[in-house]
Amino acid sequence: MNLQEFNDSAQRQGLPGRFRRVVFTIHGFNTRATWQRTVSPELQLRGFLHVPIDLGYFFFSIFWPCTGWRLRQAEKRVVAALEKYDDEVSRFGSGAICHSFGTLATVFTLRRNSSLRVNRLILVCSLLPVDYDWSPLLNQNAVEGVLAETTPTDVWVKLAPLAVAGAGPSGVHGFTCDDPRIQVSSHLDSAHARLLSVTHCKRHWLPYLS
Amino acid sequence: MSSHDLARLLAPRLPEARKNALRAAEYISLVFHEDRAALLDDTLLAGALELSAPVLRDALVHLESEGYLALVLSWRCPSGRGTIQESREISCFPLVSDCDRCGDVHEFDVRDVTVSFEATREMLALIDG
Repeated sequence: MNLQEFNDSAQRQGLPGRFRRVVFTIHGFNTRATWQRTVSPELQLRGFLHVPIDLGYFFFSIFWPCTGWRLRQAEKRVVAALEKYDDEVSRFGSGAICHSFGTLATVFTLRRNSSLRVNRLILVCSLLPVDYDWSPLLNQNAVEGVLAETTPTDVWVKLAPLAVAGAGPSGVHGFTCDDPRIQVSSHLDSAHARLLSVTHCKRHWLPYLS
Repeated sequence: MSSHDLARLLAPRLPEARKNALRAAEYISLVFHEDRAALLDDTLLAGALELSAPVLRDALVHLESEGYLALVLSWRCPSGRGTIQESREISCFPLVSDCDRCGDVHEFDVRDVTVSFEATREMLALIDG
């Protein structure tokens, strides 16, 4: 049997799998990130090693002119978590589920730390610019694939470019990048935080991360 | 007598438990009696017992969780030339290795690792009765 089959068998019997892909979750602003705790059991049950990254509570500090400072604060936490699990990431691979400001913070961190990598990146309600240039991250294998989940009615994403330095409405419009590794999935009947549920995790995130 | 103890451990994991658990226990006992350092895996057992590999996989993982079997991990050459290294801990494998099987350099990939099982002291004590 291979390691996946070992993990699957352990999971069927309610035993912890030991050879697991790491999944980081990175939350947005104006939140205590309860969604990370909500989806955690589901990720663990499916055999992932879930590492929720707590950026702390913040609101005003994401707005211009504090955005850069806030991103650097977030970067420290993201780097610390990714480095702590570096061995597991190297052996088993990793994924990251990022929401809102967490999308900006994660991509900012990956761009500035070339030794870090995330195999599968899920961006929920992304604040990155629509024309974001993914080629550096893709070419350096810092990211193997991106699933961008958009919600056309997301007011926060629409407002972000007006107030957050470097932000864009990709969480509404998706990305213009035509690389097949960048997938966009639109969820019409949703809002800024409505995708952060166990049901959505099961239906959309787990298949992509697996 | 010893096979019956092992059969009792296996019974909850096997279909037609009465028949198959004893057959599986007798086969496992025989393997470890002949060679106490033998390695078991699901395909070997499936061939010998004519049961499906996933069913036997669950039984082996169960015995491992109970401490009767221990994992042996084998990093297989991705070119299909055999085992590059064996280890009891996955962290003992280097991230890059020169392969003495095919001469290439391979990066560690979990998809190249297979799992087999060896008997622990508890298993040997059980089958020795």
